[in-house]
Amino acid sequence: MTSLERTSPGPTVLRPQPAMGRLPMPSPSFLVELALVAVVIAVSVLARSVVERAGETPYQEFLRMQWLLVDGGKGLHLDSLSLPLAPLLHVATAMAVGPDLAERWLPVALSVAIALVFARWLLRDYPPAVKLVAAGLLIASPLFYLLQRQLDVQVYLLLLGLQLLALRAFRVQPTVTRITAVIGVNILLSLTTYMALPALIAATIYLVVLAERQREVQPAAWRALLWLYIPFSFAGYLLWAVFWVVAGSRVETSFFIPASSGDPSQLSQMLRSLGGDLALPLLLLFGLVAGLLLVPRATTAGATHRRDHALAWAVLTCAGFALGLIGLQTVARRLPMQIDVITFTMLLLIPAALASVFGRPAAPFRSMSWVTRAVLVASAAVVVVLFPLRYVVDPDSLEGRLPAADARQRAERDAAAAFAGADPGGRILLDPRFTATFVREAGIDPRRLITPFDDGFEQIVKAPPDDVRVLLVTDSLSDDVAGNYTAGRLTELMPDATLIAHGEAGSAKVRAFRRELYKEPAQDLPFVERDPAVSQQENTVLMAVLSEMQSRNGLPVRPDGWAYAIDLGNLMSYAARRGNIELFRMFSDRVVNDYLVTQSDDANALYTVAWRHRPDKQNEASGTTETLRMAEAYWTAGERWDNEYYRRLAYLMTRAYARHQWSDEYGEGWFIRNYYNYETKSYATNTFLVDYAPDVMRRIAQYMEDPSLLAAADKATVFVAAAQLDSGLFHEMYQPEIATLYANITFFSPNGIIQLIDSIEAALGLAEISAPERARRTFEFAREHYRPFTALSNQYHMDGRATGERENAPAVYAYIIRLGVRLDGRDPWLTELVTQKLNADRMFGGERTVQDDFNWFFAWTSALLALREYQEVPPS
Amino acid sequence: VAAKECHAMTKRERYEELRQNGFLTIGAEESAYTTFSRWQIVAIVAVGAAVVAGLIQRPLSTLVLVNAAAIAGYLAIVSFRFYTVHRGERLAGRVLPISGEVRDEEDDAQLPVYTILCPLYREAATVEQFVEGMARLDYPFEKLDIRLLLEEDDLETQAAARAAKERRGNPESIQIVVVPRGQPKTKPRACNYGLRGARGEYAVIYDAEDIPEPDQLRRVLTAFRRQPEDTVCVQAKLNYFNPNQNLLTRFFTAEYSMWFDLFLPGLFAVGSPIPLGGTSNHFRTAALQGFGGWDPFNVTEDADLGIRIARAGCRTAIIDSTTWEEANSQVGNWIRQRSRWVKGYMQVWLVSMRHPLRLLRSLGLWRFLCFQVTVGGTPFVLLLNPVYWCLSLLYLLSAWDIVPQLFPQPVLAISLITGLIGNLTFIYLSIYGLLKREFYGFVPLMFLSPIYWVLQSIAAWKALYQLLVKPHFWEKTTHNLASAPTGGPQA
Repeated sequence: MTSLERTSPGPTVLRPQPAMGRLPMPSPSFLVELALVAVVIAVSVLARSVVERAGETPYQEFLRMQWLLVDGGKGLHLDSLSLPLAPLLHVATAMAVGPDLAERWLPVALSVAIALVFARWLLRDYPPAVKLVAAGLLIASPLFYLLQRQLDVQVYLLLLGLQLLALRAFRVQPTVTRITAVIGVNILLSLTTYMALPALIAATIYLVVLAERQREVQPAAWRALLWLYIPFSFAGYLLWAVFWVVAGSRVETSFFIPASSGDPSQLSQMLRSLGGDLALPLLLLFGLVAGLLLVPRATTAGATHRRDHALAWAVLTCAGFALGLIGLQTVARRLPMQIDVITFTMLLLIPAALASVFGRPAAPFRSMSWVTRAVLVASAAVVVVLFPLRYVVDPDSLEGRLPAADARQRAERDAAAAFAGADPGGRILLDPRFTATFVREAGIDPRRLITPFDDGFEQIVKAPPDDVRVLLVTDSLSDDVAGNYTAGRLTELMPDATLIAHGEAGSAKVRAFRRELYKEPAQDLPFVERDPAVSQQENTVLMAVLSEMQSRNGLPVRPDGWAYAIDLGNLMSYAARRGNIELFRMFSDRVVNDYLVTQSDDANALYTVAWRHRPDKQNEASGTTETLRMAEAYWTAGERWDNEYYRRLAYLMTRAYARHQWSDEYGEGWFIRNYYNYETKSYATNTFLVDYAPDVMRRIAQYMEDPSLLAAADKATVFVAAAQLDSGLFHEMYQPEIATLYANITFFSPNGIIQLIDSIEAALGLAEISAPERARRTFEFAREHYRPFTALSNQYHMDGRATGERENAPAVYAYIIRLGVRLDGRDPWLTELVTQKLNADRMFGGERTVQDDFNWFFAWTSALLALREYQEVPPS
Repeated sequence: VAAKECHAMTKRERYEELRQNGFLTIGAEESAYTTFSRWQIVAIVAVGAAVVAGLIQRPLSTLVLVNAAAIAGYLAIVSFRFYTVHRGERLAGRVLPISGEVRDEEDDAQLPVYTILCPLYREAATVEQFVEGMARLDYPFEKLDIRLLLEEDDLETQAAARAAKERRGNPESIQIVVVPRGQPKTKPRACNYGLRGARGEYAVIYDAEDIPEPDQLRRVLTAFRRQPEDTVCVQAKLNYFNPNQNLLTRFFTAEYSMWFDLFLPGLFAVGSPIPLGGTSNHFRTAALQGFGGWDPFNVTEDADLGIRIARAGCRTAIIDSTTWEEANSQVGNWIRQRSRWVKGYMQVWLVSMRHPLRLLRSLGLWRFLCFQVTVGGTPFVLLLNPVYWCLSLLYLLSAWDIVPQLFPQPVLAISLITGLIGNLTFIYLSIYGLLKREFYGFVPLMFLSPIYWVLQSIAAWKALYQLLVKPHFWEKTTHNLASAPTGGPQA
């Protein structure tokens, strides 16, 4: 027996034994406690609908997620801020009794436990009336039931009560066993929330002060006990920090905990809420301070009375530290303490402390002046009556009360309801958030889930395996709190996904996509050949182009080192029309790998096509012409092979193209901006007429039944038509800023010069559906200016006069042929152009080579496409 | 071959000689006379070969597997240590403290003769002090059978013993027993010799410098009486009379406080076999003779005897009475002593595990597991600690990515829990033990315990080396380094 143990007062109290054959009468205290339990359960059940109306908290979603992760075999996933005790408790309960019962009854059980700790043990020696008052304060508060939505705070409060209890027991009889019990409670307490820190600090100071003032045991023993107490009480945080740093989840989960970050606006929020959520706690705190100051310390009760005050001082110190640390957190912007917790702590602990001060003995109360008595009674009445009354009078004020509700869960529920009837089976990929409520409500087996917590998720989300049949996407690109990967790629941009369920609440969106397992075609289509000589010409050009590409790493690299997407677009369109799947996929793979933006945090960039590419440099900007040409190529492939995957890709690219739209604030000006700069994340402010192809947009929009895209096609038609001059040529550019310098001038051509090929290209985009008559005017212009055996002038003044600059390259003829074929089919003039101007012998004449002709690839890929389109048309 | 046969003959001859002269009364199977049995060598080679093959074929998987197994061992040891202490503390108030207030009061005339065995070797200076200490025991001197066991070649101590006896008028209670010259010259060999002529119904071993609490023998008798008949041994607690001498003695005191005040009572509470401490083991003499005494080839013959008691289905109890000893205060001396102890534990484990199934049958599953964790686990942890310290340092200080690879998620989680909580648990238990002993001033020092753990590991590796090279070598500990008691409760 040590000297510590010898300090035990330990008088043995002999209790009278009940007479045989008669049941002992329950004590009044026991009856009070029994009634308290019954009331807490009853009110919890009755108030459930009201509490549910206040909405579910993010923490409930968090617990649901933890259970589903465990149930799905992935284990708990926590981070430094989401401390483990409450999740462990929830998961263990769910394992024992099932998740529904755990969600529904565990919080009620904790409420009962909190009430019992306060009434039965913290106020153990008090008269039943005092217990009733303290319990009344506790259970009269709606927050006591709203707190059932925040399990971590409940567990914290329960352990805080136990800590006070254990500390008091230790003070009465300071033994190693009792200090060990306090340490055990403290370690558990520190694993509930970071608000345990103030409680631990307060308790430490309490013990240090006792060590200095204690007379019943040796000071050396106290100091030794403090050496045991202090480091080991804080060991919970230490263990958790080290554990998390080394072995924690790689995905942050703490976004479920409201106000847990060092938000600089917290203090101002707190000040604002002085009249709201914090009003009662502050009132109670004030009452406690007043009580401690007013109630005389020296009474006949002696040590017992001081002990009662110690409880109040402990609570007060704890509250003071908490408020101080929250202030510090606000300044430091780092500490992760929840403001909600201090509110609840004050609210739920202070009644017990108040009762301990005023409850016994009655002498101090009687010794006060009648004014003091009146103030105290009035304060208590205000607290007990007014605060709950507020919620009774105005139930809607529960909305948005502490702890704050999460709108996302409503979105999840809506989406789950729609999903339940459309679940295609297979595995489900969640990105970026784990939508626990959706999973629960839709009755999804958690083993089907692939989540951001899975190993290799980054790879999985880039190329989901075939058995992934559903993609569940939450929120927007800015939702970077949970997942490490943006959801934007998947939201409305997946080439192979169909939206099957959707929920939306506030800014929260939850969407489920069914993944369509499209396959690319594997078979060539029959080769259409109407003129063997043209076929031979076509093959010769193709071989020459491929040969040059082969020596340039498989890309049409021009002399400046860049491979331009427009050249590759021509080749893809050609391969699609020829029906050669191997050729098409060869080009397509390069496009997807090097030009098409499929992974980016920048929503504007997704599914645009970079206008040029160089392996040693980052892609700079999208090209609207290039994006549209590539979309046209995929669309052609989709039509030729009747392949939905290609059609969807084309659709996504066309939507990306349409994101380049601009209109002025009056809705009058409209155009497609020329490019989007990937680095500066800004659009161009002008446009070129070659950037439009309303026919392509219209075809895709009609097939996909996309009215917004169709509207864009209409606007594009009007826009291009507006740019046409009387000569049939089109202006080169459009730039709204010009109008500020030159009134009514927005379309223009640099130096008043128009390139014929650009006008032909603009006309090409209208020729079949949107405005064939305007395209014909351009075509006729070209035909009129053509002279046999003479190179066509490629540049014209705006009135249609040739500048005298001759262009002998095949590109302009190729575009004329393509336009002519679309307007009139095969006619003799076009045949003349095909045989004379697109003659493959010109490629090898030695005058212009790939090295010295910047447009060589453009010219001959255009020629290839023209030859193919010419061949496809039957002779008229 | 001839040399080997010659060596084998010599050992066998030595063994036979011991048996014939009564120094060895247990069978060869129960003795550490042979370090490894044949199948143990085969098993060690097979496991080694499997590990090497694994390292060649799948190095990382093999290392992870070995690592996981080691971590599991750690976890078992830490959990067991905590559990036993917890159980011991729960039991402490009810069974163990046979304090002065509750011991049976008996007539001196009815007290049985009590044999006290005290092996002495080159300790002439302490003989007088020891005899004086025994005379102060709260036990009729004439009922004591104090047997001073002296080596034949230690004439100086013999002379000192005779002088001490003569000073008290050559009482019958003091017997000077000269142990004939022979090998191995160990404490158990002397004890076996001394036990042959023991007159007492009960017997106890004390070292020369021991200071038992005066009423210890009476408390032991009470304990024997209150425990079941199959309790053949009672171990008193040991602690030090010179804890304040230096940092090493403080750590040593903390370790002993934890071991004897918390852990051994815990082992008693959970029904585990108890490896006896070096002295203050009280026996029913007849039972001890029945067990064949001590194994002279085992360098922790006391621990070995404790296990043999358990294997025979008998029990050892722990009593709340302390014998004060001298804490080793010099690092070199301490390492020598500790290496002998660890080597002894290795010997005990190897001897007991010569027939694992037989051991399992005799102990039962629970006590078998307790034995593994207690006797096997102690050297295991001490040997492995430096490996994990190095790995931790490598992980923290270098970018060598093999370390994280050795700890895939589940292994990492368990190892972190084991490492962090394990270390804290051991520090906590040290403090707990000190608080119980009222060594309040030592408590802050316990946060420096890792320094002491390093010394323990050095001793463990030395022990392993000696086990392989000179298994029966007895590292003699130098005593009387403390000039006077330095602040223990008895001081």
